[in-house]
Amino acid sequence: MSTIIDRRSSGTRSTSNQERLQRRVRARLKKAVEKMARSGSIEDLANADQPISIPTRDLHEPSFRRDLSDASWERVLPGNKEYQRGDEISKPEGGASGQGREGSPDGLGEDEVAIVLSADEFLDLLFDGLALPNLRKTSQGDVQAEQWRRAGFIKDGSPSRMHVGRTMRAARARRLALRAGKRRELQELEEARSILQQEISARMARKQDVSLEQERLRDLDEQIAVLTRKIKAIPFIDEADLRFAHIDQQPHPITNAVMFCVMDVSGSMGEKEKDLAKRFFLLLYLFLHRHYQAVNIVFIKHHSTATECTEQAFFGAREGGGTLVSPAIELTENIINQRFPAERWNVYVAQVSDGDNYFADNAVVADHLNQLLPRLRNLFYLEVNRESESDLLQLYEGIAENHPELITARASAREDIYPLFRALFSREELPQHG
Amino acid sequence: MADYLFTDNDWTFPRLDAVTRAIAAIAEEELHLDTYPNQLEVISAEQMLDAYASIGLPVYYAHWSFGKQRAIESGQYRRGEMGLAYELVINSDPCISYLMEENTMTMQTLVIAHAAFGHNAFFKNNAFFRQWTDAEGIIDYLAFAQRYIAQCEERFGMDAVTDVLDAAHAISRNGIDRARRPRQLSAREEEQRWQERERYLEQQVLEIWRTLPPVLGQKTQQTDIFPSEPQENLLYFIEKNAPHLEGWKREILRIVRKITQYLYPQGQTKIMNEGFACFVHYHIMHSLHGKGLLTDGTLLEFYASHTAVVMQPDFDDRRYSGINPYALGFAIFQDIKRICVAPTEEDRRWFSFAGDPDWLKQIHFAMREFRDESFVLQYLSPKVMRDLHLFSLRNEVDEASYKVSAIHDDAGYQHLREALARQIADSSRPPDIQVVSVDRWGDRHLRLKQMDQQPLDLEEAQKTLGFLHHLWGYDVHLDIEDQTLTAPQPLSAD
Repeated sequence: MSTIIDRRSSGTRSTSNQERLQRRVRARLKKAVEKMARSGSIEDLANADQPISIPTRDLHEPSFRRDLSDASWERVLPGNKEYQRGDEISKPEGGASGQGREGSPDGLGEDEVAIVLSADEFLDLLFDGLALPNLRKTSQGDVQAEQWRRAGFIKDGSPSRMHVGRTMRAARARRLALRAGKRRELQELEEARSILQQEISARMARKQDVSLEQERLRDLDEQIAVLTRKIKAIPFIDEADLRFAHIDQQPHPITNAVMFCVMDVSGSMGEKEKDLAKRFFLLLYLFLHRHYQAVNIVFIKHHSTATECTEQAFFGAREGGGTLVSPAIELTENIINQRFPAERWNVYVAQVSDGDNYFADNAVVADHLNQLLPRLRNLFYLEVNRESESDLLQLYEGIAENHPELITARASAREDIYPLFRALFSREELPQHG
Repeated sequence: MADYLFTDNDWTFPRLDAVTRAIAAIAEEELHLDTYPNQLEVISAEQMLDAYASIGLPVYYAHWSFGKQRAIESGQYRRGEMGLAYELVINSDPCISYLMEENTMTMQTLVIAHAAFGHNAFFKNNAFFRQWTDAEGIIDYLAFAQRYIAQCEERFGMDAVTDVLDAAHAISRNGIDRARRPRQLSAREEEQRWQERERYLEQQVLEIWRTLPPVLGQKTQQTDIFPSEPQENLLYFIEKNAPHLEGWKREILRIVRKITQYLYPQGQTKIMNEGFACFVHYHIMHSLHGKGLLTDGTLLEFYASHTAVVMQPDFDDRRYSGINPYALGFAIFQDIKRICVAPTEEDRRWFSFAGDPDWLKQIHFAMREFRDESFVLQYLSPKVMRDLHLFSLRNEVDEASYKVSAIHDDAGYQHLREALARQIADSSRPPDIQVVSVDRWGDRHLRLKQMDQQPLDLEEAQKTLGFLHHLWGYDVHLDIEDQTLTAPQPLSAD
């Protein structure tokens, strides 16, 4: 009357409860996630897989229950060693500790529940509702590369790609097929010959004439010799047996991306502006990281000249002098040419500036941009901390009319970055600033 | 010896099968156990955590609180703070027992004896389970509940459903009929009827809300109190009488109430249920070994797990967390057998059945006819109290020290027994809060009253009232000894 069932393969069934739990504490999870986004370094965050603690009071389930902390009670305990009836035991300081309120029926005494978010869930929370820019285009239009792939076997090819196993198999099959008939024939002839020979010896024993038989025997021997020669002539390997591994070129989307962080580090860019920039770069990096297998980052700082630098130098730098944007664009272009050819990389450029630029430089910038933009997936230009639109922004906006891959935005406070980023990617109206 | 069921410790399906057969034979011939058919399911640790999160039920509706439970438990499990139970068993017909895949063959044997025969027989025979639960219908009913609630989420949105479930869970402990036998569950019937019932409920003019002037000559007075007697089952009362609750919400309340009712006996028989299962596995393991079916090594491994399970840490031990139901229950059942087989003079004074040659009959009687509270009151013997070194401690609020009110001596046995029974009863019972009146002709407020003297956690009570208010739709008042709580909370004076 017993049945034994193996249930192990049916997997876990808690996902729907997990979903509902996360949904319930979504606001808190988001807050925690955003806090991490603020304090963490760019690359650490992309691999975040840390548990997030949620205070249980957020998840408290009330019910009518007793509170014995300030009440009389009697309790039966095990393990008496020395007590006699009537003994008095002084209460611990601070009232009846350890005899506090009745535990909840689910036995929770803990203050926090740790919710472990997978990297995807983390990013989902961080990028809740966001779509990758040009997502549709991206799925078909990511930079394609031709890649060699195996594509079966063919009968013709270069000797270096000859497939020995396949070739030998074909050769063996051919040999078997060609020999089979001849072998059978040969066998029949040999059997006939041995019968004939027996007959000859029998006749000779009876002293009868064997000349006729002798002739037939010679005839048979000749046939056998011919057949044997034919069998021997079947080649061990023939040109028809050759097989070659075939490889074919197939288009294959490039899953590498490079992100250029271009920032104005001239005197007019203060700590606050840099902080805004960092958040912007960070979010962009995380977002790209989610879509591409690997994302390289190139940091380019500029004032009147542009240089490539490390992340620390990038955010730590404070340099004086006037501002020229064109050298930075030019440097970006050079680096792309040298290291990240546009046909092999998905190139993104994120530029943050306060909009200062030597006015005569604007025309140069426009020239460079017109050349550069067609090779980019996107260029994000973020202008920080301006009362009104700069000439530079107006220039960019003008160019954007012909180049949809150029996206411009403005932010003046920390809180602006995230909504702005959301707006950029969800293609909504940008938040207005008064 | 070729007769051993197994000699190394890896379990295989053929071995599980052979062991189950051997155990079934002993359970039937030596212990005369009457059980439901068994369904043994091998599961992984992750699946065991799942089962934990849904109170062991194999099918359950989705709710965030189960996710929370799982998050807590899997955290504890990963940190090594909590071992998982070796088994989990469901009061259903067939009786489903879960075997963890990590268990050794010895453990699987123990688990089968413990759960698939011990608990199983208890579920089938204990009066409380027979009366209050329907093992045959439960799985179907749970499946119906899961489906129904999923449909509600689709139709009315997840948030609306969650709100109702949150509220229902908050008062579920006060959703049990303690005095009446509930109707048997039938998923098919439920499913066929629910739509009909929903329509009906929506159309129905609830009698208590009839505000037309009473028919002349009929003696309906505005002063009539409704309900005519206080009602202890808050969930039921709300489900039947809440003025504006939609049909599907009533149905959800009903589902929560039915499932709570089904689980109710488990909380009332923890000591007995575990004690009996331990008694059964202890007997079966020895019998298997006695027949030459288990090696000495297996028996030693069994002892190690068994003693760990029935260990009662002392009150001053760091591991102490209350009376271990396994330890107490096992000790009492073993003691019942001892009192029959080798009674002392003391036993004869305490127990009329002392020396009964048919110990098995006494064990069966105890297993069938009691629940924890009455079981302790009936069977906790001086010997067990001495073995466990029980003593009782009294706390008076206004005194500076606790007082030892009784210890395990002649003067204390009776007191200890009663105190422990009371303690068990209190811990398995929620505060007694009942509906006393509904203001039918005025602002429709609902009035509850606390009927026992137990101190209530006011903060919790206030929040719970909030949930009641959500369901009832009008103000809810709770009278406690010297004060009244109200939901929603009245605005403060300033």
